[in-house]
Amino acid sequence: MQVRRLASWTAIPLVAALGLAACGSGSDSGGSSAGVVRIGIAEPKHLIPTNTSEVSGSQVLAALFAPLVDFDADNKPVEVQAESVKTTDNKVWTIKLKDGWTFHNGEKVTSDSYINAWNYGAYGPNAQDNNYFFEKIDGYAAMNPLDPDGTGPQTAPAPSANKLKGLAKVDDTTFTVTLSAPFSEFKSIIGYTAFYALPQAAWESEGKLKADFENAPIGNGPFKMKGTWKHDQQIEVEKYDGYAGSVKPTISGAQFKVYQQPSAEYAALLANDNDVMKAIPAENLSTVEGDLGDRYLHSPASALSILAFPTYDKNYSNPNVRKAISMAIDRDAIVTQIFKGTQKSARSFVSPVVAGYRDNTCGAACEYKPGDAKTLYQANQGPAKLTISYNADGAGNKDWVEATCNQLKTNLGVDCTALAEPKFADLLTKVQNKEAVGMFRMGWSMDYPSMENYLGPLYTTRGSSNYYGYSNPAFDALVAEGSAAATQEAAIAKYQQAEDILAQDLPVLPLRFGQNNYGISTKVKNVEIDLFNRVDLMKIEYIG
Amino acid sequence: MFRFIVRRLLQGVLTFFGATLVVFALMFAGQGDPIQALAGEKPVSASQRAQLTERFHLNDGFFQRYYYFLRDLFSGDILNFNGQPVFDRLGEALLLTSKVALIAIIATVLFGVTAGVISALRRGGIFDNSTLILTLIVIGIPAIVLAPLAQFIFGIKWKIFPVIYTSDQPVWSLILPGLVLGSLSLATAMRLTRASVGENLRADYVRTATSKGMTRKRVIGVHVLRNSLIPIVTFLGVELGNLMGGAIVTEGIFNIPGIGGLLYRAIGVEDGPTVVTIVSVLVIIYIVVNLIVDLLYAVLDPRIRYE
Repeated sequence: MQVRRLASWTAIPLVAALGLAACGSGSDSGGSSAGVVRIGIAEPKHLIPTNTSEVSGSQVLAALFAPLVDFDADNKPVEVQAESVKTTDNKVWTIKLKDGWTFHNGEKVTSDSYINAWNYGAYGPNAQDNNYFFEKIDGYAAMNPLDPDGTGPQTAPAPSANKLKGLAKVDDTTFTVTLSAPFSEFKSIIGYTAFYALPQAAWESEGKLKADFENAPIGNGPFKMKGTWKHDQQIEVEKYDGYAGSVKPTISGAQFKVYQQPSAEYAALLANDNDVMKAIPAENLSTVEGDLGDRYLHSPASALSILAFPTYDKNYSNPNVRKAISMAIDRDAIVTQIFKGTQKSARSFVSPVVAGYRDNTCGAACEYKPGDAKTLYQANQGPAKLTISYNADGAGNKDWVEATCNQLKTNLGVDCTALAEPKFADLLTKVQNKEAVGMFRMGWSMDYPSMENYLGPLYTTRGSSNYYGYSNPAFDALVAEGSAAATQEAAIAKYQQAEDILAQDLPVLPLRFGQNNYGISTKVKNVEIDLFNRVDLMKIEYIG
Repeated sequence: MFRFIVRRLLQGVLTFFGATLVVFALMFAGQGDPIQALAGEKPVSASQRAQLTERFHLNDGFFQRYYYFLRDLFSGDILNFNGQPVFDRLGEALLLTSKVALIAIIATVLFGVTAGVISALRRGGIFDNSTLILTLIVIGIPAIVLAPLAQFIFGIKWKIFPVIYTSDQPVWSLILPGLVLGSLSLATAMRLTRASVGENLRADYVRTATSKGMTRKRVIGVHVLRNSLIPIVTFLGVELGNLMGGAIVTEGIFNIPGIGGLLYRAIGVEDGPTVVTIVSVLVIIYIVVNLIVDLLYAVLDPRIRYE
């Protein structure tokens, strides 16, 4: 063989490489053009309102869809797409829509746009992530029959209905919602992502969504899709000129860039290649102030971190033992040392962002008194060995759990182990099977701004996230009374009484309130991040 | 030669089934609760659980599920646990990862082999010693340190390369990650070439060629280099597969939506269909690349004949 042939062999991979490199070029326009802000997200799971429960997807949907109600500075619901949301008995709600609204394809927004979308979300076999948001509406049970033996071998019977009995169309812009029980906070719930409207174009046939709808969702919001969802890369939206809302955005569009890792997004922010990073990663917290200066910002968030007790485990069933453990934890020290002040220590069972929040409802039980804690712990014969379980897939859990354990070791004179479970799912499975995991970490972010959204799911006997087996009939009754109350003030009074019961029973210990810690580039201003960790696209401005 | 290829392809089929079976078994055995993993820290309703269990055959036996997997894989409409087609995502990711891997390989061949040859020819010289020290350092630094360092210096500080991958500069923004990825194999390739060429330079046939009056250029360019390339081609063949699979770190740091990131996230949410599909595709790439390497032997060394 000659040299020439050898050369041709080595040339093949080179040519192939150039060919490959060439085919990807040209088609995209990703850079920042005038008025387009670039916001970092993670790859959304879905872009269907009733199926989107994580922040990345709801950030994109918030651009594409207008909610019935949004929340004002005091987190009270105010009408956006709805003209009015009225009720006389908290059970039957009449929703009137504003006239003249259109979807991005020109279709009118009618009562049917809402009714069809909600029926789809509530129908069990559609397996939508936000299915449980519809459970307060009459007729939900028939669409989601319960499995007779939980996760056992029997399967749930087929649903007997595929429409919510509680939804009724009055005319093209009016419909009524009947709840199965009175609920005073229903107006707040409908501000959530799950309750957006869907156009006729979304449906393949009645009750069946088009398979590729979520690759280019058609909404009624201030922005419309530009092209389709480029999986793992980006989603681009541009201003919709036909948007009928009273507040209009000043930016001409937004580019939601998908980042694989926070570190990559942080590097892009430092290079001014990204305009908003919604959460600064823990490993950059020590340098972020120097890196960004006054472009490092904070705003309140709804997250609440708690330490949960398995109340079914006799080691932790005595409230006085739980109180002693609480008093032995120095919340402020952990916040400053581990979280560098990016969270706030918590001494209440609901977040400060909801109406009705009171400071320090936990009272004496959450005061750091190591001496008293040890006396109380020994008097009540607390266990000699404590365990705190956490999920290793949640970033940063290890550090604070180990710090908490060390405090318990020192202050109570007991042995304490920080036990890692690989995933949150593993931890939940063990807790649901009532295995001995010891204490465990839990977090909660609200779905709608209301005390009920903390008290109901977390602490009522049948609460969807009550994993610690806490059950107190008096507490359940107060929450139910609050939900049925005639006015919001009356509801809050009942919820606050319920919260006082938690302070005595201590099924969980409040540890920290979350905060949005975000960074922006030099090209944007007025960047606000709301309680749902979404950038407010109506307020953000592009300055170039 | 033809019979050899057919035999190797048949072996490849066996390897393919064996490998997917093992990976599938591992995913199956190590699976916790994929539905909860998918939902993250949110509650899962009973009807949703029932629906997903049925759709993904989660209650069926091992062989039944393996059968469903193979059926979906070959019919091409395999869905991930989010209900989206796996192949749609895979094609683009594979293309990107291949680009990075090819840039890495080209860098390895261009710089590694060239530097290796020069070092061997000037053994003990300044160039030889300095590249030896340099490769030692590069081999010693793992990609997880090298990549952010390169990103910081060349992207953020000096602004020579884009900080992360951007789709409007598809080639230019892949150069830096490709070089970082290639730096490890570059060092190995350089040392391998140096040793191989050095050995061949002392061989009898070189002395014969030189004494015949052949020019030094021709002796080295044709005789020495061709014989020395065999171990390097073997190394590069294996390395291409490694680069495809091992790009997770580099892809994450430079935000390249390639195979590595896809695989990493799929493992995180216990998405069996995606994980096993990606591994299957990587197995096929390995098989094909190794076949090409074997065929290249015959090209490089006429004494090697396959029958």
